[in-house]
Amino acid sequence: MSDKAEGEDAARAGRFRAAALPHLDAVYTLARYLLRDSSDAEDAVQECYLRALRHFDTLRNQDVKPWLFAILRNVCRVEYGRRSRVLLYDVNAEPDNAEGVMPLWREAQDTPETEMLHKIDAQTVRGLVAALPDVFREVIVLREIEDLSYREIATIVGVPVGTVMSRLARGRAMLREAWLKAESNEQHAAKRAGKQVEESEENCK
Amino acid sequence: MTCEEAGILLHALVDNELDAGHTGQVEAHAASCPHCTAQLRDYREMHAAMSAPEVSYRAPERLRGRIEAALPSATVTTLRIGASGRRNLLKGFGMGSVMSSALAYPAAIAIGSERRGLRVYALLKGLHLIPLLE
Repeated sequence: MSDKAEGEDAARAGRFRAAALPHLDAVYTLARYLLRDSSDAEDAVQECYLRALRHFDTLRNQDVKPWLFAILRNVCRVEYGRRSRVLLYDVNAEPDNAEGVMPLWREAQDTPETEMLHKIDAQTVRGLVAALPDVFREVIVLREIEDLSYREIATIVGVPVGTVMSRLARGRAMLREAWLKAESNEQHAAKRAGKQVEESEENCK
Repeated sequence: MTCEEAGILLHALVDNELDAGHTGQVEAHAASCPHCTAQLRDYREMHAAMSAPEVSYRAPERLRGRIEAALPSATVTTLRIGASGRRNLLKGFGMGSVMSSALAYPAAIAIGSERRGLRVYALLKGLHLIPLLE
């Protein structure tokens, strides 16, 4: 390669580095939630960045972060979907009517409004999000953790904005239910721990 | 507005995706409906909890290093770069090229991020190479 060509390549890499590397944590976060495995997530992110560099010239007046997310999602769906027995991100095959079987408001009404959500620790939040089914998990992560707009999510996932909204609503309803259960489990655990302390104190007397 | 109509719009309200007209309508409904008030409160609570930095992950340094290493500027050696090339590289791609230039010298350079560039700059300065390259 000539000095000039090397220089151009390096200059392009420099522009890419400045545009893409600041989003590395965000891309890695998405990968962790999509793949639920730290090692696979690292591999997927590296592949994402390599692909992004190859196609960097095609990026025109577009936000870099959603663009990287779209590439990552594709890497995860295509490369890592094959590895798993359960195909990851089989969103295109997933019938949307499955999301519409139960009206959203009815599902949410199953939880009494007197039950208030309380704060739970970040580790538990991570676990609850990770436990969501793929189609709901990805929109929840893109919206709640990555702070993307409905339109950006729709572009990344390749579905209409209305579908993003329904998946988000359903995902939140599922998350809310799981959240309340997690709180309840924490309370039970705390009660059990308290009881054990009381018993051991009794035994000591 | 009924609960049924408000259903999905509550989420759009939480996400600031509604125009002023719909925002007013959904808020007015929620204010008069304990069920929707509870949902709105919980979804906002969940949103706040998930926005916490601890819920996100931090990319491991080794991953950052792997990606950096795969970028062209990290592999270009300046042993083959002439005087004009050196000038172009410095103009064009900043710290990465400075790093590459420095690789021509047998100095041990730790792989890092921005700090690396500063250390390399200091190294080149020490070797009186900066005036030549600038």
